[in-house]
Amino acid sequence: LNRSSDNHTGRNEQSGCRAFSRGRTQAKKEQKIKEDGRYIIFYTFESEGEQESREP
Amino acid sequence: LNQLRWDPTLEEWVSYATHRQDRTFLPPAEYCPLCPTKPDGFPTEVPRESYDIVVFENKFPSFVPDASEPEESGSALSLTAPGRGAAEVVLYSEDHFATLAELSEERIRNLVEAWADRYRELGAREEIEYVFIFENKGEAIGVTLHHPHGQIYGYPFVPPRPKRELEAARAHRERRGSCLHCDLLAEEHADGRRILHKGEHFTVFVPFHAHFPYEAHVYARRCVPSILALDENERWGLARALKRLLSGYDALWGLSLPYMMVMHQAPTDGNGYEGVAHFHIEFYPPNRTAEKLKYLAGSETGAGAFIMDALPEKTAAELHEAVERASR
Repeated sequence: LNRSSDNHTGRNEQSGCRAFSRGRTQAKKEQKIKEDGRYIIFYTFESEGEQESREP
Repeated sequence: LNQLRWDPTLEEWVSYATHRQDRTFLPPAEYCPLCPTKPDGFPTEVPRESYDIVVFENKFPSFVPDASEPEESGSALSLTAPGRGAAEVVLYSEDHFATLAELSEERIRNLVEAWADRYRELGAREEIEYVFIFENKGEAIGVTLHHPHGQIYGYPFVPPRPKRELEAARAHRERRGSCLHCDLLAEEHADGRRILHKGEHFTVFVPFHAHFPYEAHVYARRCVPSILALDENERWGLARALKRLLSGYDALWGLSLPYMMVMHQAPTDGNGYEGVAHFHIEFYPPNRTAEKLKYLAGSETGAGAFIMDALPEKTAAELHEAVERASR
């Protein structure tokens, strides 16, 4: 990995919400800071019903 | 306290995190700290009524970003260092009673996306040299919470086992000019007896040199250094391969099989690993039968030499039948 060119969201990043994937699996990523200072990240995905048919 | 101590006899770091002694131990389901927080319920780790996939910093971390310099200074031989890094918990589902095996292929695909994002983000942190994504499942493995979850450690060093594997792969490339894992995969494909699933993008097999009776490896068929390098179709292929293997594990004896799941991929220490690191996932179930466990006893722990009761060809045949049965 080229660290210098990577964005990263460690402890210091502001809480925020953004799309993080542009593939067929669309997703939303939302980061919050808990009262004790720990981060928590919510990944929310849009269901693509067609993919259920891929089950063997 | 998050501290590293150097073992000069094995040339490896040992991590100390003394606060972990107080971590939550097998609470009843109604007091699970990993479930969503219900209205008027007690506050869990997740302050929402529902969620898809959640990642948060472990309350009892093995590594922290801001670990202080150890008070114990060590010596010229016995070094110490701050236990800097990351320790995250990954919640697979809000359903307390689900398992990874029971999730749909689509949900596992979503998890692959979250894993890749964590690899990218943690690997970009200066103090983290290796992003280790893993799951301990079942009380036989020592889990302290039953809610379906995995963990991620961001180590401030390349840990011994992946390091040894990478050194072997680099030596192989220097000798033969090819990827060790690609060559191993080609041998497994040619032999065929230990293959459990052969997809377009991923192959699952019991390795010729398995260290656990029902050990299985999930290999990317393309030589990619990390989960981040997988394209869209390969990520779906990984989800399908995991679903097939895990369903087979549970079908083997009709029980939810405990296991350790570990991902091996390129370190994030800034060095080059193209053609050396080959993304794969290894599963180590501790069972040798439905009722009996394989313990890592004197030879395995003290000598580092594994003694096996069953040949991989036999266990692979059993597992293959279970994978096929679970897929019908």
